[in-house]
Amino acid sequence: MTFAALADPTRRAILARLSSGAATVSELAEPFDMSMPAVSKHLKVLERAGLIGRGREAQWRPCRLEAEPMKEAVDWLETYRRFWEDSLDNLDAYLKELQTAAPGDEKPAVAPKRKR
Amino acid sequence: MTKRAESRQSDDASSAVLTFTRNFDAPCKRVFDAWTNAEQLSNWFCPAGFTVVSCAVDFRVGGVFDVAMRSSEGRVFRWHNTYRDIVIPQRLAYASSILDEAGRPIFDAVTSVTFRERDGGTLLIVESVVEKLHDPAAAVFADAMEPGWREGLGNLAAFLHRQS
Repeated sequence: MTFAALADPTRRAILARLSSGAATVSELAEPFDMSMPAVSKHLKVLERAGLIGRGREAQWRPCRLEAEPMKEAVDWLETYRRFWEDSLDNLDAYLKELQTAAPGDEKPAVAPKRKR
Repeated sequence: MTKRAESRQSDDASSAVLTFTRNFDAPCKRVFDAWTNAEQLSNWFCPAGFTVVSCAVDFRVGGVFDVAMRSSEGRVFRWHNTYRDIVIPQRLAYASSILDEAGRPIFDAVTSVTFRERDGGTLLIVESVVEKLHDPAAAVFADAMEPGWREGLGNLAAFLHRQS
């Protein structure tokens, strides 16, 4: 599943690097101070999740981002994050309305429905 | 004053976790009530551009709270939530299935909400674990959200860095 692939910070950093262009395994390994096999392991997870593709060119096999699945996953997490940000903003406004309607009242009157 | 929410993804290898932390200038009991009373939930439990059209709460462990919300284009989505844990007025945990208008699952999540007394107000921590995305139906919900905020792939790097 895409989300498991996205959950690891190293994998997210690899994806961030690939968002600016294709790269080889050694290019990807360099900034992380990681062995090539360790990086390869992360790349396999990303490849299985469909988030990256590998070139067929001999031993270089440059990695590139698979735009669509990646975008879908990122969009979805952003959507869900936005759901909570918006709802909690609403909650804050609603609680303030209650405060205004019935200051200090432990059993606040139901405020009028918020128009969005 | 509401503190800006912080969201992150955990290092959990199996799922994506979003965490939100907010301070509310209201006692725990009042914030807890807003989360667990159907009338009150329908005042706030939806994103911008949506309206809650119905809300029912069966407030017990194993009980369901169900919120239907309509987008500005008239599409209705249902949040079908089953309580897993209730500690009044400190904690809630529930499993959610989000369904589209035809009742097809869009995604599953497990959410825990912690209410902590802080300086007379409430520190609220929401942690939501996205367990399963029923690909590709999720795009339907994403498309129904307000236009203008969805970021293209050009902002992917920024997104990923923010989550790190």
